[in-house]
Amino acid sequence: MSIIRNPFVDYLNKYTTASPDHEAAFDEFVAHTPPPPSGPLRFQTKVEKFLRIRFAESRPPSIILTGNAGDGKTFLCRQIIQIFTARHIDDWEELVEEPLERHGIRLYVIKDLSELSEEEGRSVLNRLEQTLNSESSDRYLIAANEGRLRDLLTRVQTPKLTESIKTQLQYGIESGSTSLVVIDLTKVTTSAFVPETLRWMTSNIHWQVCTDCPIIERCPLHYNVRTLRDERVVRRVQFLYDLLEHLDIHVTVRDMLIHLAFTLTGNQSCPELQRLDAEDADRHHLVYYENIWGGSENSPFRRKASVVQHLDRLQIGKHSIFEIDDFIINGGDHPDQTIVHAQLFTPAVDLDFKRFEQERRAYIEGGAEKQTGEETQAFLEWLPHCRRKLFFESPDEQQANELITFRYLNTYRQLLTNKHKPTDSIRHRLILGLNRAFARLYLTFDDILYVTSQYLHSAEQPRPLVRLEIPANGIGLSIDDREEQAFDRRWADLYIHFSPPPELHLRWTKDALKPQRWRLNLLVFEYLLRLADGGTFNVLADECELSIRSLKDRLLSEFAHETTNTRIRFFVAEQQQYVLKTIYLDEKGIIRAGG
Amino acid sequence: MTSHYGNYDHTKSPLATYIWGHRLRTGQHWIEYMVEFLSVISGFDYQLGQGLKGHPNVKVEYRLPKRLGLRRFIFYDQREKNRNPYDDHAVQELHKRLSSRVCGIDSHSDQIAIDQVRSLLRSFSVVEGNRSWYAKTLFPVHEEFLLWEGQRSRSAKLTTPLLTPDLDLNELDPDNLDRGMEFTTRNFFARGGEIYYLILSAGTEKQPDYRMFIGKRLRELLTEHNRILGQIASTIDTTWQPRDNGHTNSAFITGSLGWIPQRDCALYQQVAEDLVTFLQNNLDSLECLELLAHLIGFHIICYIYHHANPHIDRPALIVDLLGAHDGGVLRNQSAASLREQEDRQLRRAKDFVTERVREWATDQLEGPILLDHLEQETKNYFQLGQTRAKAEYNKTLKELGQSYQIERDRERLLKAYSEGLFKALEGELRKNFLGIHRKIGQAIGLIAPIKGPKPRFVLGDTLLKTLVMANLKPDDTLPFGEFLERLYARYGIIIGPGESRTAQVMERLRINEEYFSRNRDALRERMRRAGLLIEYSDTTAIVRRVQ
Repeated sequence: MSIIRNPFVDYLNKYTTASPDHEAAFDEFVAHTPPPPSGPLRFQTKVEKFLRIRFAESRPPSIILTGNAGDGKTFLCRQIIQIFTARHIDDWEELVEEPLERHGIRLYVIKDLSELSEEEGRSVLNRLEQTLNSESSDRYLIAANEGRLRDLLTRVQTPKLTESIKTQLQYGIESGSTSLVVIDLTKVTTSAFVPETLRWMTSNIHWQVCTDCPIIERCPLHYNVRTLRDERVVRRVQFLYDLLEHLDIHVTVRDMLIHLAFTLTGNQSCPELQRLDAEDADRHHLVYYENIWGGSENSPFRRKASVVQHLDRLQIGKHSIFEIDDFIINGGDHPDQTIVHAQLFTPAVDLDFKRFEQERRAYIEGGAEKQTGEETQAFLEWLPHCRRKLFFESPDEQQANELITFRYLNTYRQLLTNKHKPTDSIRHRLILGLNRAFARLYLTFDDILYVTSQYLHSAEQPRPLVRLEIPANGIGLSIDDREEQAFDRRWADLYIHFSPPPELHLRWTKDALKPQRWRLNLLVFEYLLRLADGGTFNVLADECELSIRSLKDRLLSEFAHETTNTRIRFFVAEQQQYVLKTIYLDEKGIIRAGG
Repeated sequence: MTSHYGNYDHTKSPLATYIWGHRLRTGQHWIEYMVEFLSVISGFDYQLGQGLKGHPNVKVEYRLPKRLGLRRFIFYDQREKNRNPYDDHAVQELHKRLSSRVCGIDSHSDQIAIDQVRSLLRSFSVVEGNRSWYAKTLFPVHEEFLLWEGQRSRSAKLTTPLLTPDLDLNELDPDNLDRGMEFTTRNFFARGGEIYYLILSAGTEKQPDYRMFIGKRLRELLTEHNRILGQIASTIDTTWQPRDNGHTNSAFITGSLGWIPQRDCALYQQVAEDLVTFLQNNLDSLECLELLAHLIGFHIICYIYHHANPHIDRPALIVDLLGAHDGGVLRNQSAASLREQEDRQLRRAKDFVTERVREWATDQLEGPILLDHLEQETKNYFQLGQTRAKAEYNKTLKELGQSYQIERDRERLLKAYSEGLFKALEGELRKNFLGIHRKIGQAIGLIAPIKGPKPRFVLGDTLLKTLVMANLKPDDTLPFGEFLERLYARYGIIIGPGESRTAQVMERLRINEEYFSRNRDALRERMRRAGLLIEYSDTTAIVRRVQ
């Protein structure tokens, strides 16, 4: 039996063994490793398109790219240099001092600001500032980590540059900016590139070699390839990445590539797979829907790849959902469900061929006499595996989404895609959730937001003091999708707005009080709605608590002022609910209370 | 003897006092350090550097209202364990008077109104527990909430003449009903707040602008916020006893400060700097006070550790941020590091005793004369209070006397005497002083667990936030690595491999660097979740104080 070896598998495995820690190494790998026969993976990104256009101008801008290691800063630098001079760069250092020239424009390229010394870094920024102040023919292309850049800015005198950078990082590119463009690559939604990546990885060209392989029908890797060609499964993978976006977890392009490569191959090689086949070993755990969570508990990949750590926290498949488990075990009630079940759980390598079906039959048909406790246990261990399979491959996506612990994901997404105007109901529930989160009491008010503060260590029942009241009509939701941005962005941002309460307008005439807005990511949204719908201060509280506390601090410091307080308002438990009480001093200094 | 700051008075003192000043004591609740301190500084009209005898233009005593009326109103009720007919009557009387000052809204009765006010004020209670009403205290949301520890004196002289069968309590005015209340007990307001006041005063001797800033901000914090609450409190109190700011002192208490060692200690300046940085905030007042209580507790612990080992620049406090995830290695080392801090306190105390004995053992004295001399000096210097300890001590003296007859070894005599003397003093030290750092540490989130084995150093979220605010000015940023360096340089806190190397802890304990790396990463993640840090990339993390 000849050993077939697919070089593309080895190529993909090189991705996964490249350590995420070494950006330079990865870049070199991508640049120098001979690409597979079909050509390298190339995304058509909006950023690249944007940069190509701007750089084709006779007077191109200076460009600063910020982002994490792996967001593609170096890659983009290469592309821009290609556009500019059609040169392939090996020695980046010389470019810092010796610019590239074209049509009278001199381009200085700094591939990584962090690699320069403090002095060199400051010098570059100073020079860049000068080009902003005059009609210079010098241009700069700088890639930097935002932290390092901001830090360096505190040590130079470059007002124009600093202003432009800070504004663009916060609000995006100024339309019509001609001299400096700042692009924050962490804002790119990586999930946009998931389908293209998978399409490339599973493309027929790379897998021709396998047609002659004797184990092709039993190979888990090939199973992965076939299944990941299915558009529906691709969308589900993209869906997972979207979830991470909603949770404010930015995955770099590089990390995504590594992760998806691992999802496909599980870091297995052809010889290894053929050996397992020869031993008739159980390979069902090498399927993509197990690899995607990082493989086994102790795999080194799991420790390295932060994507996996984040996905792990979603705990998909770990918990039992009755309807789903019932479906998996019993096959469903209606005939159509039975058909779906049969299609879904067709014997294949990911179910150890016929074993799952056999054990399932034994489980539901065997009585207590026929099955030992061990056998029952062994069968039930299939459940997490099958839940995960269902998550990706089930035609009933709504059912599959039950496996995600976020109850309000759909509501959230509908708001983001503007499918429905934010309803009053959602607004009021968010207000109720905030009231409960602030006061740590099960309040029942949803028409006014009470921003409270309290003494936390009270030896008696604490009484949250109401410092600020914002009526519901001063609170709104909005979507900000920043369409004009130069990069791919799948999802908009959801914001909640707070207007300064009316009394303040009357008393505080010195500076106009600005409305405050606060971005709601999925985690906080979920937390608040759960609170509003009667949930407990649960695990999410740990993660959200501090974020909510900082919102409270901000609202109080922007809107609450001592002079506006003529009375004390606080909550008291009375007859099974919380009531708002007032105490104030009248003009004669009499204390009035009880209401 | 090192130089003191404050009113050093050469009286006999417990062992701890000689080393850590007059004084710190276990009975003080962690929040009471702040309450006492604020009372003292408010009693000096928000000026630091006061209270020193023999200085011109300086108030020698702090002065604040008794607030007995307010205190009784809030805390004296049916659940009170120390009931007294005077107080029963006083409360009734106060309620009567208040009905003209407190009115119900919307057809609610005056009594309901009074109850509501009372329960609101009571919700600011700091310590309930086993204390009598006169020892309970309030969270200082306003200056008018500052209650000083009191005690009903058991002294017969003060109460007997009044307690006659035909006495009509209605005839008595507040002064008489309040007679017998003392404010000098200091079990709970054990002077820890005074110590903090002294630390700040000493630390700002050369920084008058710091003094002004601290005074100004604290005055603002206590008088310009929660004004209605303050007015309510003062209305209630003055209904009971009007305050004439002039000369009737019956409505006021006065007190004077103790002292702290080593007036030029750099730590005191550092404490003042931390406070100045921290106070540049516009947090809600309750939150600010909460964090301030944590900061003060933390500083007191630093103070204790410093004087336990004054010759080194900083202690070595290994902080465990991994918790359950580290297989116990770092946790064990952190626990050991905590035990070491306690051992050092004991060792310092023991060394102190030895030093004193050597000082007293002037050359010409020998044998039994020497022993007598030492005994005499000891009597004048130390308090050998407890009977059992004293009995042991006397026994030791006798044995030493006898053995010296035989051996005539002066060195051995001195050594044995020191040991015996220390043993006699150790019990009191352990009982009243040694537990302070743990008690405060557990309350502020520096030491965990609160109940359970192997207490070790940790960093709670609130304490973390407090330390960030004490080290970064508003809107300042600092790279994470430098933040760790700063925590080590200023407080001796060891978290990451860098500091553990500088402190030479890694080689000494032979802990793998990886543990400290993970420890550092754990802190970074915690700070990120707390919003105290932004991670811009895999390597750059910036600590920020957002305001």
